[in-house]
Amino acid sequence: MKAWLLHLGVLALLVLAWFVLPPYHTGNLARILVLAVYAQGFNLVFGYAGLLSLGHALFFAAGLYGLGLSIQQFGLPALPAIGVALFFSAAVAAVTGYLALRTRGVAFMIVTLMFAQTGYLVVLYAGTWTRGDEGFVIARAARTLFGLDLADERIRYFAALTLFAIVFLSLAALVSSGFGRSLVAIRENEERARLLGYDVQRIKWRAIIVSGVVSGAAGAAYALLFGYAGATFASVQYSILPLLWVLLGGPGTTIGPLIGTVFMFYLVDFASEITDAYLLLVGLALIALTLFLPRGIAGELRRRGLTWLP
Amino acid sequence: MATVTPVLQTRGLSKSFGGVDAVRDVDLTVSEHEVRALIGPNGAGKSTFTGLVVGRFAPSAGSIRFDGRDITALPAHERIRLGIAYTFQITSVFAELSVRENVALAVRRALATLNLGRRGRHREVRRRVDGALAQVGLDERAEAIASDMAYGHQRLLEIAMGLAQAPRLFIMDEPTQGLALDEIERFVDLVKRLSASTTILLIEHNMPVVMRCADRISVLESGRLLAEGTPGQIRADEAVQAAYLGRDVGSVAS
Repeated sequence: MKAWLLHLGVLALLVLAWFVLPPYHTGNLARILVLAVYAQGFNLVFGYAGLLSLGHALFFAAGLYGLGLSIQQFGLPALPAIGVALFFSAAVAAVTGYLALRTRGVAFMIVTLMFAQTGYLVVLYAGTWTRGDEGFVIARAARTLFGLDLADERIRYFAALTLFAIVFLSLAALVSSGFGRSLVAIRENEERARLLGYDVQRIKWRAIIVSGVVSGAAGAAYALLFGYAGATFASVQYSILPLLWVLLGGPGTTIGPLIGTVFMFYLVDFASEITDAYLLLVGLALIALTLFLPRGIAGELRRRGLTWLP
Repeated sequence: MATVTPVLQTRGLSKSFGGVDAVRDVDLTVSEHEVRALIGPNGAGKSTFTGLVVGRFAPSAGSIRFDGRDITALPAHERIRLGIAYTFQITSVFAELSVRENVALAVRRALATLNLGRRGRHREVRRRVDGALAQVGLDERAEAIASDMAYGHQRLLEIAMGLAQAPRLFIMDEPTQGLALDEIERFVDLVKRLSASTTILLIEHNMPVVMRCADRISVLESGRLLAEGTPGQIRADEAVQAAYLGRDVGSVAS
C-alpha cells in the first residue's frame, strides 16, 4: 500500500515538474525519463536477478535502430515502427540471453560485452543504412503518434513520462509477483532456489527478455522523441551507463534507477559547468558514493528504516 | 504378496570426482513412511550420495528411481517438483530475506502447479508458512531477517522450508548440527511425527538422535554400503563397529 502511494506520488511529482520547472530542466527531464526506463530494464536483470550484464547497449540499440531504420529505410509510421523495435529487441535478448546464460560470473560479463561489441560493429559495418558514428536524423514529419507531434516540447515530455509510468508501475507489480520474488531468491542463493524446485535458467532467461524489451523500448523512445540514431548508443559506454545509474540509485529497488539517472545526469551537468575535466569530478563523486552508500541511495534508505521500499 | 513400490530406490549408484570414487555401487531402497538414517565416517560419501539423489551432480553410473519412476536423467528442480525436499549440510537459506519470505518461496513453488486462484493462493501460502514455522518453533521470529538469527535457528528455518513443501521424501543432511539440546529434542519429536506423513532420509552424526529416530540405518564407508539394518542390528554389527562406531557404540546408544 505504502509502496503504491510512493509510486503514484513520484509520478504526480513528475507531472507537476512540467508546470513548475524552467524549460531547461524539463528538457533534461524528458531525456532523463527515457534513460531511466533503460536503467529500469537493466535493474531487473542486475538488481533483482543478480546478473551483471555488460552488454545492455545491444538491447537499447536494437530498439533505437529497430525504430529508426523502420522509419528511415522502410517508411513505416511511428506506431508499427515501435512494434518492430519491441519485437526486434525481444528477439535479440532471447537469442543472446539464451547463449550468455550458458556461462556464469565473469564469463557472463564477458560474453554479454562481446555480444554488444558485435552489435556495435554491425551498426558500423551497415554504415550504408545506419550512417555509422555520424548517425542519422529522423525527420520531424515522421515523429508523430496518434496525431501528436512528438518533437513538441510539451508532448515530448508527457510522452516520455507516459512510457516511464507504464514501465515504472509494471515493473513494480512484476517484482512483487511470484516471478519477481523468485528472481530475488536466485540472486540471494541460486543453489537453494534450484533445490526448492525453481527452474533458475528459465527464470533468468525470462528476466533477460523482459529486460531486453524494456531497454529496447527506451532505445525506440529515444530515437522517436529526440529524432536521432547514432552508433554511440550501441557502444560500450551505453552498456556501462545503466550500471552506474542503477548502482548509484540502488540496485534491486524500483525507485533506484530514476534516482540514479537524475543524480548522474545533473552531476555531469554540474561538473561540466565548472571544469573541462568534469569526468574527474564525476569519478570522485562516484567513488565517494560507493564508499559511503554501497547499496545506492534507495538501497541505503531501505536499510535505514524504509524496509517496505520495493 | 503385493509389493509396495519403494519411495526411493538406487541401483549401482556411483560417482567419481576426477578419479576419486566418492560413491561406489550403492543399492539403497527406502520404503514409504520410513525414517532411514545414513551414517558413516567423514568422507564416506553420504553427502555425495544425497546430492546424487536430489540431482546436484550427475552420477557416473547407476540409476535412481523415485516412486517407481526413473529420475536419473531429470534436472534437480524437476526432481524437487516430484516431491523431494532437501536441506544442505551447510545451512543454505536466503540470508537477506525475512524468515517468512524464505518459507514462502518454498511454498509458492510447491503450490505453483495448483489451481487456487489469486486470493486462495495467498491464503494458502500464509497458512502453510505459519504451519511450518510453528512446527519448528520459529513462529515468533517470522519477521526476522534470516542472517540476523543464530545458526541453530537458521538450520530450523531450512527444515521449515522443507516441511512447507509437504514432500514425499525429505532428505536432511546433518540437521541437528549446531542445534541446542532442547532444539534437538524438539527435532526428534518432529521427525517422529513427520514419519506418519512422509519418508525421511537423514544423514546424522549424532548417534543418540539416529538411534531414537531411525527405523533403519544404512552405513556408508569409503563410498560403499557397508551394512544396513535396524538400529539394534547396526549396533551389534562388528564390521560397523570397527569401521565407524568404535568401542563406544554400546554406551552411546544406551
